[in-house]
Amino acid sequence: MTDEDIIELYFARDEEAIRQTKLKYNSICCHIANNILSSKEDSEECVNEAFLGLWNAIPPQRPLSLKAFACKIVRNISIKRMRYNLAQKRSSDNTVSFSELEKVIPSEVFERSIDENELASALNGFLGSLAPEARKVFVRRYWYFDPINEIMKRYSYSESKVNNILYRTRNKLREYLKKEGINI
Amino acid sequence: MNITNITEALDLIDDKYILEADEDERISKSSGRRISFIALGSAAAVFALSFLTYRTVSGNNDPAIPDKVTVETNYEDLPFKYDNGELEEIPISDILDLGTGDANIFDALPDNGNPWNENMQIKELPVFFCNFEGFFEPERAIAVLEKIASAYGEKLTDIEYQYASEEVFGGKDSTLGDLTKTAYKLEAKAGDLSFEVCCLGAGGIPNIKITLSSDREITAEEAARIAGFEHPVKFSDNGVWVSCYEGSHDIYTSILNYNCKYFSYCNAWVDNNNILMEISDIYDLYDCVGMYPLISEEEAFETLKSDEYSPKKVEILPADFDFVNVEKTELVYCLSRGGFYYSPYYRFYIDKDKLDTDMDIGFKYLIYTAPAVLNEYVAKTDIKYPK
Repeated sequence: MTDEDIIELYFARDEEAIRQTKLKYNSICCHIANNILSSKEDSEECVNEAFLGLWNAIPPQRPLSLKAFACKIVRNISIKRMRYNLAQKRSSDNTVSFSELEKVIPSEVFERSIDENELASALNGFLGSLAPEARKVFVRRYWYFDPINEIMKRYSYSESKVNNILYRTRNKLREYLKKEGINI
Repeated sequence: MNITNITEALDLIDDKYILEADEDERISKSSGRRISFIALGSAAAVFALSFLTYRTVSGNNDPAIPDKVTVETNYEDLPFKYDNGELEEIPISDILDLGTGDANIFDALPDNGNPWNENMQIKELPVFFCNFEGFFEPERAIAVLEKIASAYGEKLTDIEYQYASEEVFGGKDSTLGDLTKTAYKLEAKAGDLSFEVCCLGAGGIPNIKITLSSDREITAEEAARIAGFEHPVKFSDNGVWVSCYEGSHDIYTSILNYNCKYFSYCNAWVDNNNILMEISDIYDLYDCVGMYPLISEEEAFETLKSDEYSPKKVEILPADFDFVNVEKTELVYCLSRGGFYYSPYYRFYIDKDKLDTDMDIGFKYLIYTAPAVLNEYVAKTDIKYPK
């Protein structure tokens, strides 16, 4: 079933929509959740919550890509759960990729009011300025939260290459945001 | 949406970037880099060989060799897809579990840049002996690093190395002796650059890892020069490999012309941003020790099944497995066990399904290599141990 067909099912309020979404995207959603939470139980809960989120969001929303939309929801829910777990000292082992990036772009930046559209435009402008190789590695690490060794496998890169790409890209992001007037 | 940190802010990125990063991008261009170190000895040489575009041969002495041979290699399509693809830090204790010429695995029969073709009735070929006798001393590694540091305008400092024998016990090999005495790790710094050399011991190919902690750019060709090679014969500015030969501009031309006296070889890896990442597979000055007659493919194949050459192979190559079951044979140059010799080898491709084994190798074909000259010509394995 195509994404368009599934979205139509959501609009028709047909619960088959959730079953079809699960069939197609359960695996990638679990992968993202598990990358963030390192816990099968927590991941499953978050993925289920995400599917419910999809049911509630479509309609009115009509995503261009159901896959990306589902991934975004599960990522969002999993990050929230991870932060909750950390606060409750139910710590996750997988906070490295968070701190890697947040060290370069500290949270204080976001305490000031930043226009969301401006931020989105800056981030997308930055990603668009990168070579595809660096962009994919960056997104795999900080969007999908893939461990380094998975990125190495995916792109057949050495560990040092992956680390170098991430190091340089983090710094470039910092410079780019500064240039875009986001005060870091 | 109340964004409180950069991780959440990344939720705002376009779907196209999310989808792009989820495309399966396992690529073969750098998979040679991912060779298990167990297979490195033979595979690296094969890898290098496959990268060559063999060009004009002139004035050779053997009428059976055509005057002009061209082998086009599309190295994006090379079949180097190794199952054990993870490139991990090697604990020094694991360095000892090495050999060369073990089975490599492929999922398709390759048709690559082998410089020989079926019309060449070659009766003899040169054998080269490594002039550091199976051991790449730390002093040589330091000399290479000094060259690299100096190219960056830095001085080499904080040099430290440790032999495996200081850390592990055992490691004796029936042919090569105590490998712990020649395996070492060396670390050094040069300004904000840091280096790590991992010598695999007893002729294992030294792998020099360069970790850059700054955006220092360098072109692929410069990388070759830094490594000390004046004639990079194949390099790409697209994040692939630089393969360099010195002594003989094109080693295969020289081999076929019987005038290759010595050569050295290395790979330098430059990323898409032209930054030198690693130099590895340094074959340092192999001297030609003579022309030796080739044995037949069948004879070479028989040595695979004997304990004499490579006892490990007996485990998966049944004694009654006949040469007629070999899918394909090629003549290549490989490093011998221990890295002492660079000599002609036959490379045999065997369909796993014909092996009657339950072993899950993940790929359809196994590749074995066996010397194409008599073992006695490539049997010297006297290691020059460090003082």
